Amino acid sequence: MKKHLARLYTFLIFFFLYAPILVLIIFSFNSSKSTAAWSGFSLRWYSELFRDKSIMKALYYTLLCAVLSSGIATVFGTITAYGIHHMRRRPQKILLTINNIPLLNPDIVTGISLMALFSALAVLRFKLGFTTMLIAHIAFNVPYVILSVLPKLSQMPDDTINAAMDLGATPFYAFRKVVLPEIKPGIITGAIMAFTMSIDDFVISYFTAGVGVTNLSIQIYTMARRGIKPSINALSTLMFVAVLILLLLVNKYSDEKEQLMS
Amino acid sequence: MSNRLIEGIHLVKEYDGSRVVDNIDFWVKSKEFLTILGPSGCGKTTTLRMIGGFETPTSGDILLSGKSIVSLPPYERPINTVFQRYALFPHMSIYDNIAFGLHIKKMPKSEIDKRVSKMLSLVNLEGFEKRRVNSLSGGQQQRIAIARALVNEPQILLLDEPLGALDLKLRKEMQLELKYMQQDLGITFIYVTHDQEEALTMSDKIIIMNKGKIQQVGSPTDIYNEPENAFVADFIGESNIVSGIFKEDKVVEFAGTIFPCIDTGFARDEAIDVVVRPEDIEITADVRAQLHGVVDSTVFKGVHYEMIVIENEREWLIQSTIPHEEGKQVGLYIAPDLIHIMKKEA
Repeated sequence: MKKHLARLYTFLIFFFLYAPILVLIIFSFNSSKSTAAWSGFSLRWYSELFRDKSIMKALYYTLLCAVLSSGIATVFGTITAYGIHHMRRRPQKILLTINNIPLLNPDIVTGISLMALFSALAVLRFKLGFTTMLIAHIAFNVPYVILSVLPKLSQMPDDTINAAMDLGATPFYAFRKVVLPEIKPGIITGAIMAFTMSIDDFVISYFTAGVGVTNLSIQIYTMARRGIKPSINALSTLMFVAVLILLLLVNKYSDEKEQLMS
Repeated sequence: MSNRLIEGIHLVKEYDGSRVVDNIDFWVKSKEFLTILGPSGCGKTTTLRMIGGFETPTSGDILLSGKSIVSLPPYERPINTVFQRYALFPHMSIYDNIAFGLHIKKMPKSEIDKRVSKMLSLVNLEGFEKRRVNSLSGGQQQRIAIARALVNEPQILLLDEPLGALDLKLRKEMQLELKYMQQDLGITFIYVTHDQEEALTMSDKIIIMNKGKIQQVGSPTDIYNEPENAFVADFIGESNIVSGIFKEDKVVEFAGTIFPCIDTGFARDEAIDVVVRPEDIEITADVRAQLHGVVDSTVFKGVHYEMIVIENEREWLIQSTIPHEEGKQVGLYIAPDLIHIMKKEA
C-alpha cells in the first residue's frame, strides 16, 4: 500500500511538471488552428515556422548569441576560475560570494541594471542592439562556467602544476598540457550550461536587445501578445527539445567523469 | 668552497609574519645524500620547496655551484623533485609521464624511447609504457614519479617524504633501492623526512630541524652517538635524558652519583644534560653497578627486551637481550664512553 502511495505521489509530481509541456508538444502537431480541440496530426505549423522570416531571424540571433556568449564566457570563466583557485583563502571566499550574487539575483534586476548601464554608456555611442545583448549574455554566463570549472581544479592535487614546472614546463605550457586536460570535463559542462542559459534567456535579453533585435524567447513573447497561434507551440517544442538534449549531454559528461574517477 | 654543489645562506621564510624557516645555513656536496629530518611543521618541506623554486625565500640566498638561483623559476633550475603525493599526470600514459621533461627539451623520439625504457627498468617496471596512472598501486606510482624526475638527469634530486604513503615493508625496500640508485647514478639527493630511521639508513649527512632552526648537522653515526642537544637526542631514537652537573673534565654527576666520562670542555660545576641510550645501560649484579633500582616492566620487542627500571623515582629505559623479571632488584652500569653530555637548553 505504502509503495503504491509513493508511486502515485511521484506520478503526480511528474504529471504537474510535464503535463503543460506535453500539451504544448501534442498541440504543436495539431492540424487545425485550435489550441483546445484535436483535429488530426500535421507538421503544418512546423513548416510555417521555417517559412516565417522574422522567426528565422530570431533563430539566427539566438544561435549566434548562444555560440558567441558561451564561447567567450567559457574562456573568461576558465581563466578566472584558474585565478581564483590560486588565491589565498580569504580573497577567494569573497570573490566566490561576488560570483554567486548574479546567479541568485532576479533576472529582471540583472536585465534592468544592464540596460541602465548601457543607457549610461549611450554617451559613448553605445546603442542597444545585438552587441549589448551579447555582452549581457556573456556577463550572466561567466559565473556558471566558473562554478563548473572550480571543482575540477580543486580535485587536482596542488603539486600537479608544480610537477610540470619542475620538469621544465613554463606556466603556460603546464596549463595547456597538464591543467587543461584535467579540467576539460568541467569546461565542457560549463560551456553547454552557458549555451543552454543563453538560448533560454528572455528577461535579460528583453531589456538589453533594443529595437530590431529579437531572440526566440522575445519572438515567442511578441507572438503570444498578438494571440496564441499553434506555431508558437511548435517553436516552443523545438526550444524545449534543444535544451533537453543539451541537459542530457551535460549529465552524460558528469557521469563519464565520475566513472573515470572511480 | 668548490665542492659545495648547493648552498643555503641565511635562508628565511615567513608566512604572515611567522617564521617557518628561521635563518638557516647549509651546504651539500656533489653526489651526497643529504636528509633534512624533523617533526612536522619544522620547516623542512618549506626549505626543500625553496630549493626547488616553489617558494621564494623572504630573505637569504641559495647558490648552485656558486651562482644564485633564487630568482630562477622552477623550470629553469637543473633540479627535479619527487613530490609527496606523486603528482603524476593522470590523463597521460606512463610513457608520456616519464617523457614529459624530455619532450620539453625537444629530444628526438628515438632517444626519448630509449631513456624511458631504461628508466622503467631502473625502477623495475619494464613494459609499463602504455599503462594508465590509475591502474598502478601506490608503490608503483611512486617509482614512476622517481623515474619521471631522474630521466632528466638533474644535478640534484629533491624528495619530499616520497615513501610516506607506503606500507612498512615496501618502504624498507624502497629505502635501499633509492640509496642504490643514488650511488649508481651519482646524483645529489636532498631528502626530506620525519622518519629518523629512514634518515639513519640512507643518508651521508643529516640536518635536523626544529621550529625553523637547524639543531644539528652531521653523519648518521655522529648524530646518533653525539646528539648536541636534548631535542636531537630525543628525536633520534629513544634515550634517557637527565640533568646533571659537570664536575671537571671527564667527571660528571647525575642521579646523585659521580660517573667517569670522556667529555671535556664544559665549565666546572656547569649544569648540563646527560644523554644515555637505552642499549647503553648494562644491568649487572656485580660491584660495577653505579645505580640501584627495581625492574618495573619488561616487554619483548623481538630482537631485544625493553625494560623500565625505577631508581629513586627516576625511570630508566633499558634495552637488552637478557630479560629481567618485574620487581627484581638490579644494579645499573654505564661505561664512560656511553655517557653523552650536552649543553642545557636555554
